[in-house]
Amino acid sequence: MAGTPRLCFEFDVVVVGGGHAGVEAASASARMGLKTALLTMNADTVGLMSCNPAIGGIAKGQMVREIDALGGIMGKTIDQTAIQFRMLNLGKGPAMHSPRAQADKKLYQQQIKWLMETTPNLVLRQEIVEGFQIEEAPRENEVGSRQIIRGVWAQGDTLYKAKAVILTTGTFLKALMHTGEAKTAGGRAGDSTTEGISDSLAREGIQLARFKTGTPCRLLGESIDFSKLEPQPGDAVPRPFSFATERITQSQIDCHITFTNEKVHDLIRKNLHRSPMYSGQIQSRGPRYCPSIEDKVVRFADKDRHQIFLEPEGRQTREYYCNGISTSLPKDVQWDLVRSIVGLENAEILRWGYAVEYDFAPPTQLFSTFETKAIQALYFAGQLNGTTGYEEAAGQGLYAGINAAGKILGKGSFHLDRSEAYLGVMVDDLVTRGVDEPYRMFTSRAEYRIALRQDNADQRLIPKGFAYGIVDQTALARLEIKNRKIAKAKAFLQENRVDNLTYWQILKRPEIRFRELGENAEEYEKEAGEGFGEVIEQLEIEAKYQGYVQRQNSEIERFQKMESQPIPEFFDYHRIRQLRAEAREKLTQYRPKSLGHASRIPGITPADITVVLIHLT
Amino acid sequence: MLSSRTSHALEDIIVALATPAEPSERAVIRLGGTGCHCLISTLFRPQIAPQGWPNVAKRHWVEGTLSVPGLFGWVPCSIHFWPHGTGYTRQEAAELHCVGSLPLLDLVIQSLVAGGARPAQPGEFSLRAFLSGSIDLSQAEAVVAISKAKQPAELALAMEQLAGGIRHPAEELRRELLDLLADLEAGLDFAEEDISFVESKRLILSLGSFLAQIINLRRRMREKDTQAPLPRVALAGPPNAGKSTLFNLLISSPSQAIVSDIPGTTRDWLEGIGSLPCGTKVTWMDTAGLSDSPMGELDIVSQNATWSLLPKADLIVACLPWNGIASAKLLKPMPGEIPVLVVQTLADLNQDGFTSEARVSSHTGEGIGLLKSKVSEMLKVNAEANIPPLARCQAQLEQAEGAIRRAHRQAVEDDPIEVLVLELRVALDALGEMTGVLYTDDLLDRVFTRFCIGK
Repeated sequence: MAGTPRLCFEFDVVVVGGGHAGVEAASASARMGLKTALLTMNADTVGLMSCNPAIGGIAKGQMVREIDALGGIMGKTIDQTAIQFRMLNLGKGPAMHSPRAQADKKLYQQQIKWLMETTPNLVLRQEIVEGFQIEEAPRENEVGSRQIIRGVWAQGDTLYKAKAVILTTGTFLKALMHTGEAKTAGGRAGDSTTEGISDSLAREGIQLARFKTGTPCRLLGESIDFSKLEPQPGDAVPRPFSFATERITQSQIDCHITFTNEKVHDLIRKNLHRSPMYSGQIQSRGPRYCPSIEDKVVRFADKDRHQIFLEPEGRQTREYYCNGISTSLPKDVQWDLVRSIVGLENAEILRWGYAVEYDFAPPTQLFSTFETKAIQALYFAGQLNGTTGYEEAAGQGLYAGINAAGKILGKGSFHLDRSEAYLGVMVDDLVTRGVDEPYRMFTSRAEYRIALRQDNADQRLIPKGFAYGIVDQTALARLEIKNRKIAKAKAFLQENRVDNLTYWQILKRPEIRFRELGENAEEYEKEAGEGFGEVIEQLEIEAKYQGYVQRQNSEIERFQKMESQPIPEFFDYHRIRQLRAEAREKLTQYRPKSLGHASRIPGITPADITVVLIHLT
Repeated sequence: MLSSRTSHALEDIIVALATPAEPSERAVIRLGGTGCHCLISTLFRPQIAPQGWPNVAKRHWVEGTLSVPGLFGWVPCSIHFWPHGTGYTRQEAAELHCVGSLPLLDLVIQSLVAGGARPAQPGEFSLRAFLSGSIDLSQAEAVVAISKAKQPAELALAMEQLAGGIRHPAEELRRELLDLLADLEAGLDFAEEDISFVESKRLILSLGSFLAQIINLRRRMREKDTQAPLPRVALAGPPNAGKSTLFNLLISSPSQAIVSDIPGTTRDWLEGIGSLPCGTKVTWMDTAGLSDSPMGELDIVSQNATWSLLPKADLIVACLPWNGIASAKLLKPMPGEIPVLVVQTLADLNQDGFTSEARVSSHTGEGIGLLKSKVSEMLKVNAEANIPPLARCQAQLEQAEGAIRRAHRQAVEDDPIEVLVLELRVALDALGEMTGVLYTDDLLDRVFTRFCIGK
């Protein structure tokens, strides 16, 4: 697209798309002092939770804590708007503890919109983006692509000039929704799709591929017989996501659990040919860990029931989300299916379930800053990169926002490695390994999860974020106070003894809690007052986990040795004739930054690494 | 480990005798590297030239005759040609099969070297095969071990390693570990699901069984390891240089019977075991004297025996008397990769020494201690440069065993699963390095195929 615009704006950073990635990207850039525009198709859906009404969960909760430690908005917003809090996996060790909350969907979205409206340096605007302003990059720019993005074109000959553009268009690129045989264009029920951006990207040489995902039907709470169902309440003492939130004060609402049964399974089997996933109408790949109910019944035929969580969507609505029966079966089957379930015999469907197919850009086309390799100053984040989940999207948005702003401000890239944060694991997985199904975070993706805990996200990331200029003085000061309290309490533990053992040594035993150490410990806790809970938590974890953490540190050292073997950015693999053709191609495509990075590329064998090592030395 | 010092020459044409250096009905000379087919065509005349000769496009078995400078007449010979992209190393390669006459083989190799090839280093073909991706690391190392094997027992072990003797049980163990890990990981990441994961009792039992398997594997390997032969040190030099007297001083066991494992050759050397200063034992070998002008048939035969014996030594002690005459010249054709220690013998008779690394006198005992410590030093350096693959496997198995042992103890003590899993990952890494595979790719696959996951 070219020509003379009728209207022209100039910004430092333009973010296209107002989902969970876009809002974090835009607010990060604005917080770093850059003039930022957030362009969205519909200003009413900024920060909308398109699928389940929940934030956090195992591995995801840890990520929200990391986002918060780096100054992001997700943690604070969910603390203000949640209707239920649960710390998951408490039966396991502290590395596995994961916060999760049910959100008041509408309230969450409104709060995010409020933040977009009130953040200094940030402009929220409803615009339909139709294309990009891409030019030849000046010679003096760094080696690499010859293309550079200078801005985006919006409907009505409007040009938004920018030094960096962050694309966070989610599932909206060439989106197609399926409910049974029926197909509707659109990225979310009731919303439209974006055609122009896909074509512009393809024209600029960005590769696109297709994924599918699904969502279940929503029910009317009044029509559900809760007396037959098992309630699932929130925690008695709810724990906040944000390190800045002192206490959760709002009341909580229960979720409920029910199950599918053989009748439901028979119904699905009988109508399988009408499911677009099985009829061949949908060809693209969906996530295995979030399968449709059709998938569950077919792949796990021996299971006689599957769990369903009925989750309220807010305080001002009676709409319930049916977590566990995502489906693209036709409406008549959905109707019979729901009414065959215990407690749902008279349930009214408020919205139908559907599957959606959309374009994504395989993330191996990105540098580890999320800048595209093909076009300078263009960044991708969120579901566009082939991920799924609000938390994954938000983390990427934040990361892209920080890096785009950092580059404009002349800082080096902001990097987190696999041993520092789940965010680092995600970024490395995406740009190194790529995705062959929508990517979701699991703790098992992190080799060093003993270190990557929800309780220490502030200690891991605030100092680094402050040094880079994305975390403010208040957050740093709060961490310093906490650290001082920890140091003081630790001294107390080491000075006091029972017989020959210090309190600290006794605290190492798995079953012993701080207050059980002695009367003076109980008093100490009382005197320390509000906010001492997190101090005790950290001390208990440190005492009980210390040996394991040290054991893990030796593994981390090994990992860092490989990471510190750099490979020059434009290393010519075609020069190495001993490399297998496949390895040459893969390494050229992925351009790993270090030998460790190269070793994680799928299909690269230890032999390939040896060859590269030989040629590096 | 395969060393990187050969890397500069991955495209060179290399040549080596692929069969034992002994008279036989059939011997094989192997060539590899771009241009080796052209090089062979200068010596070889095919009965029926294949299409495009000498640039064959497909694998070919070609019969023909060989003509070598310095050799009168034509020798029947057949050659197996592999064009680029095929065969063991994926490089242009050839195997030349002809009658196993040592002088003939020598001449052929010399002509090929004169034409631009260079003698292959030990294990160099395997290195190329490994680098081309056609064999994995443990296979490559096993091949190297075979090419270096000095004793039938060692050879058998290396063969077993190549055939999977070590790989199969290790891979099997790795697979079982991976399944268990997938189950445990599913229990960590999908705690909210309606699925029963690994029970503590089953976990302890499985880990106990893994531990038993790995201990067993290690014991089997250790037993084989102790059968490894002693390092061999050959005394070589001109006749009457005092080798035999020196030999008798060096051995601590009485002279052994004349032994040989090569049939059809003169049994013409002595072996004896002796101790070095640090307590290490070595096999000393006394060889027939080498001279510029062999006298008579018998002399030629015994000299040939010496020449075929020397490549089997780990270290050659060149025993040179006062007049170093033939000395330098004699040692020149020594197989290149075997270190040589130059020693001046008969030191009591010759006060004017020449440049040597040690002076010894068997009569006065002068320098014997020094010689032993020099030998010990050189053997040690050499051993470190070639860490045997088995030792590496042992180290990895040991690492895996340690990790499984810790995991087992943690399971018994009911420690957190996420900690135990850390040890299983260490064990998997170690086994994976040994068999040349990484686990990260298949872990989630296993989780998702075994469990119905997801809300």
